[in-house]
Amino acid sequence: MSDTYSKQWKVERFDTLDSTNDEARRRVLAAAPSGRTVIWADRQTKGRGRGSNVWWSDEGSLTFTLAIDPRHERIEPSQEPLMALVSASSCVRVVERLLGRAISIRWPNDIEIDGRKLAGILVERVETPTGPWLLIGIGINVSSNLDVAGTAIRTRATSLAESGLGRIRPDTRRRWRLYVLLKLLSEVAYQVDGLSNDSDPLCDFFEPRDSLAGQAVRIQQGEKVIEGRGCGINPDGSLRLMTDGGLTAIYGGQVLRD
Amino acid sequence: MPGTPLEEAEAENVRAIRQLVRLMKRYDLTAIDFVEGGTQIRLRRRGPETSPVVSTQSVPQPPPTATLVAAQPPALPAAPAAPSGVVIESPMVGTYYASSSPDAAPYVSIGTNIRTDSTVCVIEAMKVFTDIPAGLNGTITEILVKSGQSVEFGQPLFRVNPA
Repeated sequence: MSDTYSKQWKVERFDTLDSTNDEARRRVLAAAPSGRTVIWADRQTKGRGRGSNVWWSDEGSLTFTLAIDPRHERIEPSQEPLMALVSASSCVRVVERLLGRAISIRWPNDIEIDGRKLAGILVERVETPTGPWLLIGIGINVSSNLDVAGTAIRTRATSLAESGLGRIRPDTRRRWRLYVLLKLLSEVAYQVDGLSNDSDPLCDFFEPRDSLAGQAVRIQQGEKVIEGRGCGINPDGSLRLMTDGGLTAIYGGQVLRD
Repeated sequence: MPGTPLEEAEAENVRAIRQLVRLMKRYDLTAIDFVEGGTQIRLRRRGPETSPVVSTQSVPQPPPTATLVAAQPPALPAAPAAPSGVVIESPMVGTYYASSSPDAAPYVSIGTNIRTDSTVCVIEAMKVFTDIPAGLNGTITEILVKSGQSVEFGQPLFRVNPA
């Protein structure tokens, strides 16, 4: 592990990338960055989501990946699975301040406004020759034109502009993306430091924003589907699901949408 | 809103384990046996950079390497021969994926030669996708799980003929 690690974000912007997570992966595998790194692309040609999902984006979308060294960040290995939740809570804090309204989180990391997805997060832990790195990919619809995204996305997605920020003029789109990015970088840094200090438990923040609380929930785990009722999250980030067999902690799988 | 006594007890157990893990890291301890009333927690740690193995609860623990277990020899000479080689176990709870995406080729298949740092699969827990390195040199002889399957801590994933 390198002795020098800067906690100042070093931002690298690209016009186009295949995927900011893929570029970040290539970077950390080639050589350990000197500190917190941001790979930011105006456009992704192969933006990735979970599994075979793609992340649709246009010039109104903010897409970037944060690369951090968990050892220098004092993130315990047992805390690493919390990073999707930590990232989601950071986005939520920034968006709530921007819009002046409460928004919800669908465990573990979908950020929703009135049931529509505003942001997506993809966290990957990469083993490199010099140790592990965490890649936190975030895509947030700032002023995306969802009308051209196709029906499936149009009906399930929203943007900051649509959700209360108001129309953003094309000539100010870049400034708005930069503004949101800087707010997010500041918040993620604060939340990561808070995680290493074990302060401000995530479940307290999550509880009033939990879109699955009290709802019938189905989780797909491979060929198996677990059904139950959402009962919040545990301090380790797992979903509490009340099933016919009792209270179960869910760590993996996909929350199915009807 | 307070949970049921069972829920609160579970949450308290998780808090206790996290506290103990922090103590192990802080004081560089390799083992802790914690007994209080009817609760027993045993924690073991392989080294300063590895994650503790929690024996009481399957909390996800992304470690630097997968757990390796030598296959057991047959109990009796007349019994069918047990598969030889070493088993790579899941180091965490989550969902096993054989490839980086459904369209991508699997990281390994039977006959693949692996090195210690070769990624053999990805395990997802709470939308954090963790590369799992092989932890040894050798050849994959059997794949014991299906892509998309839920796996537990310590569950055998691969059988390997060590180099």
